[in-house]
Amino acid sequence: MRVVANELKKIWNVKILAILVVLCTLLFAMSMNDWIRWYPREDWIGNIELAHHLTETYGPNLSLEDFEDFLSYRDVITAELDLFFEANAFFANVGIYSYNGLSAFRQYYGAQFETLTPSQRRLWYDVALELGYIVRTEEYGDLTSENETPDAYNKMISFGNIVGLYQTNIIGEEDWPAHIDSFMATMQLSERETTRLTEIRNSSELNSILPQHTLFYSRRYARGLALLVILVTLILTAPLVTTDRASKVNWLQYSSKEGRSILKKQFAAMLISAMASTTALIIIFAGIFFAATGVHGFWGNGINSFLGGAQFYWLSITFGQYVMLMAGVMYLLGIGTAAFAFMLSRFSQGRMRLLFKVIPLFVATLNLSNWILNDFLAIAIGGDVSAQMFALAISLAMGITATIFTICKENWAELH
Amino acid sequence: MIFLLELKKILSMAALWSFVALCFAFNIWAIPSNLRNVDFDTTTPFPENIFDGYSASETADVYIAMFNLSDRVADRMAIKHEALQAAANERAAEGASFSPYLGELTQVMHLNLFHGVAGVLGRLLFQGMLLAALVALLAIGYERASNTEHSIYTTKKGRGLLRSKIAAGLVAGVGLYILLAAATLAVYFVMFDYGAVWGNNVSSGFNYVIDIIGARPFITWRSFTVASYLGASIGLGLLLVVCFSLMGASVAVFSKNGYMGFLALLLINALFLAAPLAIPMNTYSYFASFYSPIWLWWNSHLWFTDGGITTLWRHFELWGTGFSFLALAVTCLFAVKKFEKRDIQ
Repeated sequence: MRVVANELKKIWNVKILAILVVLCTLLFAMSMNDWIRWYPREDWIGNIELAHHLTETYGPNLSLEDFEDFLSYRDVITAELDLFFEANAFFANVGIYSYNGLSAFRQYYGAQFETLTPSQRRLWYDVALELGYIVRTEEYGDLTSENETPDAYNKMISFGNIVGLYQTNIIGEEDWPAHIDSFMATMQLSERETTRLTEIRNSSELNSILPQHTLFYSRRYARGLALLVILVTLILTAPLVTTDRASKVNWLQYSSKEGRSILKKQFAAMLISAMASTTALIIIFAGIFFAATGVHGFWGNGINSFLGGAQFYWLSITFGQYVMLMAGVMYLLGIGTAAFAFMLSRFSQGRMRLLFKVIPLFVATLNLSNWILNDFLAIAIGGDVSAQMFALAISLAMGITATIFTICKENWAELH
Repeated sequence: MIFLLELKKILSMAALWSFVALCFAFNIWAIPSNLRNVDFDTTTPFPENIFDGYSASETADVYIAMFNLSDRVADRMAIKHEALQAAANERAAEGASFSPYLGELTQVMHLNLFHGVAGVLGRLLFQGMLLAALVALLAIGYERASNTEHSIYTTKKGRGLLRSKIAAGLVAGVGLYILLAAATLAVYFVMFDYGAVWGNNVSSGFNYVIDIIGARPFITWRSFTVASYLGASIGLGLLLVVCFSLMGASVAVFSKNGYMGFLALLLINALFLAAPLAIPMNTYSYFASFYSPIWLWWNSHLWFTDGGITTLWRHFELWGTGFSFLALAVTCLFAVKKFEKRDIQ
């Protein structure tokens, strides 16, 4: 154990750690942070704020009774909007004192838009601008607003979206087909995919409350995190064995029976380091993501949802389980990377030779990671999940097997 | 003679050639397969002269409004677009817009070849930059890695080896870039027949740039055919590769070993990439931060054009590469001078 501890000290070099901290911070700032900044938590586009409200009120699924109860929430939002209109001087000036007033204005002016006078058209544009919209006009070009869309207004649009999506995808009341039916009609699907989609459609899985943007942004962030895992694992662990070989320390090590098992202990140290660094990265960066976006509010909600757009998943699992599976993939990538790094390090006489081998390993592992995590477990869009898991498993198996073989052979290796 | 021996040391490394072979294989694998059997329309001209009546100042106004640019930054953006208007008028007079290029798939294929990150030339340039830096690290760190520095660097002649090593690293880096580019492009142009396209103008109406304000014409400061644009891009890419060789050499002189030198290079370039995030947009410094070598590579698909929102001055690629080359050459010379007087540790 003492030897493993000493090897760990060699791996966790302060200078390299300092460089990694700065690198990870920079990579986070340049790319991963964008998935936090752009996450449409309060925007009506994502329906996310209202989805949180639904989950807090009704749990992970929205049954028909819950939906009918939810319909009355419109009155609550209308009351909030009425307060906004009453307090807004612009709307008071133009005679709009409530949400119903706005709706009536829109209906009346919208129906006769082509015949409106210039001042009426200007009023139409000004109302939209007051609500925070960017307006495309023939007369004035693009008009941008300095206002933010009121929260209650975002909620009302979101409310309409959610009601429409539930009616389309669950009740089947609307004139257009459910997303799952359109998906099955338009995509080229295998028999397995069609069977699974039919299974989802005929179950109550789609009653789950999970907005598509939550899954999408979580996946993109996870992809960035996987890059950090691979990079940190490689940079930390790759030079361990090569450093000894470069300074010919292995000549001294191999002169004793205990020394012959040094490679085994070095590999153990590399694996421990890979697991530890992966755990640290996941805790830190996943923690930041959860804290900033609040996606953990959907932890117990199923991933196949009426709010999921045209994406459906192979497994009937919750969002929390989905996140854990992505974390699991990252651990496997980290371990596989460490195993291959060990192999490359063992057969490199110097650090520069090692670099020429490690860089292609990084590119290959990154491509594998992106292939798996891009649309993780999504039917059709996510690619062949079996092939992905097979590729991951076979890479891991090859790395570990080759490593064990090398370690065993080392006991009888002649020194050169 | 010493220069040749140093070159031989570098080029005799099997791992280097394996790396180059893997780069070549990756380049071929990364070429989109869905475009390989497409029949491109290289005869039908674009139906209108998009540069006739084109207003570059409108684009400037949109940038200025969208990003709240003001004062001298806004003025410079407007001045740049006044110059762009002159270029657009020249393209209009030449009828560049009517060039068929590759028909409806022009924009896709142009980016497929020239894009900084996702295109063939962008990948080649990145590999060239990486190879140049690695080879410089290898050349200069060789004596330390072989434990011969204590005997070699104790004499004046030995200290002078550094210059030969830097030169060998430079020549090897540039040579490997040329080799990789020649091999990759040879395969690319067998896959996609550009026979009828070489003389077409890259500012064809079928070609366009998509950025934050939407699609706008691809306007170069001077008229380029596909052939001359390719040549100019490869030529400028060569200079960028030289910059990275000098960067690698400068870092290698001061670093403990090649591995730490590589990490230092990674960190330096990551800092360059992140620099714009830390600088307010309404300053000259923000736009100057895009002139670092790594950003020049990132924006290589905009070379010889106005460069969009990331530049305030004409010919950003030439100024940026020139400044980088000068700065890195000076840094390298400084490193050599310091090395000649340094204690061996």
